[in-house]
Amino acid sequence: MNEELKRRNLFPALPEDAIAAVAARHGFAEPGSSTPQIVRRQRQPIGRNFQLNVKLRRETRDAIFEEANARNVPVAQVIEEAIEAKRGASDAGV
Amino acid sequence: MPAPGVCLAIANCKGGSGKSTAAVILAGEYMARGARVHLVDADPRRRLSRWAEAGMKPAAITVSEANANTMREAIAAGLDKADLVIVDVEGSQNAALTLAVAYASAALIPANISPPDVEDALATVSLVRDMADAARRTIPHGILWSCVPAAIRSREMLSCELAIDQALIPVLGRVYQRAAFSALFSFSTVLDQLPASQVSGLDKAKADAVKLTDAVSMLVGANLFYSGVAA
Repeated sequence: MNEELKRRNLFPALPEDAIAAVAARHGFAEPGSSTPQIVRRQRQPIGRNFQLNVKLRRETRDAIFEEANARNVPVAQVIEEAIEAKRGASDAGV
Repeated sequence: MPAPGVCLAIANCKGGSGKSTAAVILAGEYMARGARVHLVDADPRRRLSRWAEAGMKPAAITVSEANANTMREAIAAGLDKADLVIVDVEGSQNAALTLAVAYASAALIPANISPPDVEDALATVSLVRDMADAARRTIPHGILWSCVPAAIRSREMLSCELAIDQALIPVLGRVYQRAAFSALFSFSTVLDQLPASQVSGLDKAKADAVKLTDAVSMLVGANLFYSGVAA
């Protein structure tokens, strides 16, 4: 087999960035590009393993969500902090 | 004089268009004509690899796996031991398809005769033609109609054929819906080795394979194992 002819038929003198440019023009995945990995937030075990499904007044629900969203904390943390505050107030004799 | 090694990319960004079936049909027919064929399986579903691993594959056909990172090496290694390398890629707009086209001496684009397949076939042909322009060479290419119903000629099929005709894309052949083509994967072998007692229509399937292989031989421009039986 003619090695030179074989290679000439197979491999065009086209750099990979040119191949990638053709791919990009046609909406194909570009060689060399890798799919970006989704960075997941590391979740730590913090003991919130129980579910509570309650019916609230609209203003109570909105207040909890507003507090959680404003500080970017879980709803559960807002409830925990409310309980802590209640306990603190009780201890202080308020 | 042995023909120079050539690389045929079987590509369509549409899945289920008959790429792997076309690869096995061609591999079997070229082997029957005395060629050594290497199949590069770049489809993550590894259909060709599983076909080969079943153990019924003739020794003259070898198979290796590849992805976008290993495509070039896989084709080069295939050509070191074979007269013809056939690359089967995943039916999506993936990087391995782009590279297979970039390194190929010709491209075969299988498509069902349906509007979605034709749409994606046209997109693939557009990629092939742009790649050829960028490389300042020709990449001969053509459509292969897959899974063609033997007895039906609907208006929709005619409009699909017209769309390909208007895009000036040559049609290399038809793979009809035949039990023999499905049996290639259930028996994990080539057409000539399918048991005639268990598979019907082998003669018609063989005739389809001969026509297709001759068309591909003319496409790659090297008269690669051209049988001269059918045009």
